[in-house]
Amino acid sequence: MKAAVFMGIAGIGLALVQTSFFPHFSFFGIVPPVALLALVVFNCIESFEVRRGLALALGAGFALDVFSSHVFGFWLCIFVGVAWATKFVMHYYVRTPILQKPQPF
Amino acid sequence: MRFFSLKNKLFVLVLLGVAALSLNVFQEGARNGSLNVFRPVQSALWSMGNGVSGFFSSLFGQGFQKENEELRAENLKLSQELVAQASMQQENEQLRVALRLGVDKEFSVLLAQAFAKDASQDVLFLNKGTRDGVQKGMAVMTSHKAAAGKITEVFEDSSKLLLISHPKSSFDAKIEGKGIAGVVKGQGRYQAALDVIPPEIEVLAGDMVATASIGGIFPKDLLVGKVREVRASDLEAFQQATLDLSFSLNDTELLFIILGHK
Repeated sequence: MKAAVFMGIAGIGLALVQTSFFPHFSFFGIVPPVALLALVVFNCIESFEVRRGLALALGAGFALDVFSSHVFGFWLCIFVGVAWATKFVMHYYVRTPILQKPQPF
Repeated sequence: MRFFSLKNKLFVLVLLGVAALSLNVFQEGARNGSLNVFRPVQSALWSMGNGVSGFFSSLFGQGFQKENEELRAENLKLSQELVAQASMQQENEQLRVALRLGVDKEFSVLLAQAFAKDASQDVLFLNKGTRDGVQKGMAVMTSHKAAAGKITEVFEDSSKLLLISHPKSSFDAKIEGKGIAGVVKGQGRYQAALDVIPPEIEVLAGDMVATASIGGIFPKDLLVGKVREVRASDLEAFQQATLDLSFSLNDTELLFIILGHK
């Protein structure tokens, strides 16, 4: 549980960095989507049974919704969907030698 | 019983759905509260980002960063003086030169700073809100008297600034020295274009564009940018000119919200 809360806060932190630090480094007006990239990488590494990646998605999605003009839940749904999809693809379609042992949530 | 049984999964999903619905119903309060909590960290990150981007620019620019900034500020100041002088000549040259009108004498302004940007749109968050007298529809300019955008949403302690490059932004403007009026339309990603230019008018790269008072959004004679490229076609009724905007993210440390005329 502690790990999930920590990951949620880390997700919020990533979103804050994306909306406040990286706008100054936009490429052709596009701000690097660091929160989304970190989410995908983390869920690729994490095993299917563990849910910390979803906590990261919830934190980052919520923080991005605060700074968005869309309805609340827009980025939250996208991030949770991406997290689930990444885990699903990595579990059923990708075989790598670096899968972690499942740990209690 | 395993925590992630089907029943618990459904419960979590329902809980998330209710939370999302509540957040949408109490959107203003939720956003204002969250912005107040995040703002101190974001203000620091915004200043840090500004500083780091300036450092890298100087690194690759072989130390000419300071000189570039000074020249840019001087350029904007001179451009603003040109715009102001052209307007004076049209109205009443002798009287306007004598009076030396300035923005602070014409308008009540409120100093603000940006601290965050929307993840996917050209929208900035400013650190002033209803508590400071900010209202929806107010125009915002930089310290160089360049048009930045207008306020589209106001919270208690912060507000949203729709930049002039946002696709929903549209306002009347003119090309200085040619008496040509057009409409500046945002194209996203810090780009904008001057549209509805009559085809018989010759527009050149480098022409200065400033706000006109027709639309009532911005006060007149605020800098918008310079013409970069002109697109004219026999198939279209009007010409279009892409602009190099005078506003940039480096100017967001000091923004002026125009509260009203004095």
